[in-house]
Amino acid sequence: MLRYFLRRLLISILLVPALLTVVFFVIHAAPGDPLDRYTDPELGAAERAAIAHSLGLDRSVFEQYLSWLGGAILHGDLGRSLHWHRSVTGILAETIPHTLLLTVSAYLIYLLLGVGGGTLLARYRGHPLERAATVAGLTVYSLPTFWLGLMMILLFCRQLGWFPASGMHSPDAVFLSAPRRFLDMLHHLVLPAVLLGSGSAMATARYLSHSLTEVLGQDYILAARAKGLPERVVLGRHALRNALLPVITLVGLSFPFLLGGSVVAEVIFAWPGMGRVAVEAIFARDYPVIMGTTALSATMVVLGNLVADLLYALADPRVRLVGRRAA
Amino acid sequence: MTNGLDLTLAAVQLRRPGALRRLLANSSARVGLALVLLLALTALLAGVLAPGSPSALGPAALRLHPPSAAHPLGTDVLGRDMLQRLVWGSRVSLLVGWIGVAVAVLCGTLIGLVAGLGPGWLDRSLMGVTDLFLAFPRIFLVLLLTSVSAPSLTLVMVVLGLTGWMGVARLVRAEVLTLRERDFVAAARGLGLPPWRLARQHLLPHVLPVVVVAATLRVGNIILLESFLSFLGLGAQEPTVSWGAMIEQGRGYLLEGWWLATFPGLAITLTVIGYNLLGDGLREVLDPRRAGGGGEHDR
Repeated sequence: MLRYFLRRLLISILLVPALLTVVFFVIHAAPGDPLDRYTDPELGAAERAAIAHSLGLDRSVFEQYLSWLGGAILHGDLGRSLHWHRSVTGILAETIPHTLLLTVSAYLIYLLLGVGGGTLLARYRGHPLERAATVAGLTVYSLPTFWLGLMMILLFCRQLGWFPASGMHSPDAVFLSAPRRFLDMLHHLVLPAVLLGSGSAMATARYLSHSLTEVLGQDYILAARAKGLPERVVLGRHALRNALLPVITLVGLSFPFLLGGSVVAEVIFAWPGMGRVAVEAIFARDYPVIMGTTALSATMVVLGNLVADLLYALADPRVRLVGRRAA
Repeated sequence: MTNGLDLTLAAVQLRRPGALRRLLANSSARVGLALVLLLALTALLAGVLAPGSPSALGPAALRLHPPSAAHPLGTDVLGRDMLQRLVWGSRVSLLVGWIGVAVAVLCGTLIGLVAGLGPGWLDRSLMGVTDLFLAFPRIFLVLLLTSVSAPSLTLVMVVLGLTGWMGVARLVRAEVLTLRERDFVAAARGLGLPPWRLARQHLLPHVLPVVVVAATLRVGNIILLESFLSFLGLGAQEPTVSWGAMIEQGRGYLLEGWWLATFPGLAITLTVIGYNLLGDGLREVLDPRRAGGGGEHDR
């Protein structure tokens, strides 16, 4: 178990710098000089060179890479943003709580809909309700998320006026008392969190219901039913526990999708999180910010996968003996 | 004995008589196939169905007209007929969907075959690279890669293909790993067949059904990603019509011109539903072991 854990940890620790290296060289191999975007075209060659020198852009890509990596690892310094003229760590420290708030809320909605919906689907197997839910699930799964977000804005914000369409606070939020400001923030949170949480939930619900149905066909379920256990206990204690095993992995694997999905939700609802900053940085060729957001999200995703793997190993004793084979 | 049986099975499940009949017996697959065919015809016959240029300016008096008999889906801000633009827009979605999937499936199958057949160190390093790609939200990679050069459809297709092969590679590798232990492969190896011929003649036919299913199920995702890229302005550029860009144009008129953003989104949804239904149906016919679960996350 310990060896398995250490091996996973080592692989995870190696994945992040490997990815960062790839991303660094890809964005620096891109044609176009970031200076073109951030300096006056009238500027003389000498001034340009001076600015390039002060930003370290006159060094070779390899040198820039080493100094970036050194700064990041030794001092936790991710450089300064070319676009916002602030330290990248400052930008991340400000935006990451917003993204986490959104992602965690979405995660709760996702779990509720996914596990609850999956159990219901399996319970009502063959019922017309199941068919309707399957169709609904497939439709949601096939919707473009950004468009669904726009439609939510059209319906709930423009038409009905129930929720605010953008941002995290109302313009007058600074004048509100702390509890009311919190409520105001929750009010802004509802739509993006629902948008982000519901998409993957449908897939998980389908998957769980399939896995539950499989488990429900096993002999020990028959035995449990033969003992006269109430259906609730059979479903909850005997079936769900086993059916959840593959879902645990799926939940861990869903983390990248939620984080990726938060990009869409943040762009559509102007939520001031890391995903939106990442998109703006990509458009602005803001290398340090791109690297910073990449580093942070890669770390988060790798940690999420690691936790899912560990949960899986803890939940399923068989994994401890043989290690995880090709999924 | 299993050897002979295997060889018969290897005569491609795709060509097994009745595969099509069994596919058509499945009602969701029928709906999926109908949608996919309808869409393919729309894209092919765009010039006949909706003659005229979809991007030429319409008359000024026709700006932002709600749906009517003359313009069933309304007109956009520039007085252009929405239905005509939707018809032409199907071309971009299908082109990107198909070529993107082709790139992804080619890369994935190749990597999966090499990893499954190659020596242990090669397998481990290839799967390491696969994990590396999987460990990262695809949308970040796609945005990063599409922004490295001027936006174009070719770039979008290549990028979506190059960021979508991992699932296929894992499927193919897993399939090859189980096939490798079978008698007919051992026999073929014993006859001294070089690995590439083994792969092409004995493994590929077995892997093909899995690949066809995976490919169909991925078309939808690629279309969804393309529409988001076009929405952000990183995909097809004017005068090419794309559904994602049409949604972007309607974003500023959500209330006054609800039809602008609504219809292209419905078109995307129907298309993706079509491919997902067809993919699920194909999976039930060609790859029954994996059928039923909706858990194939490869966004």
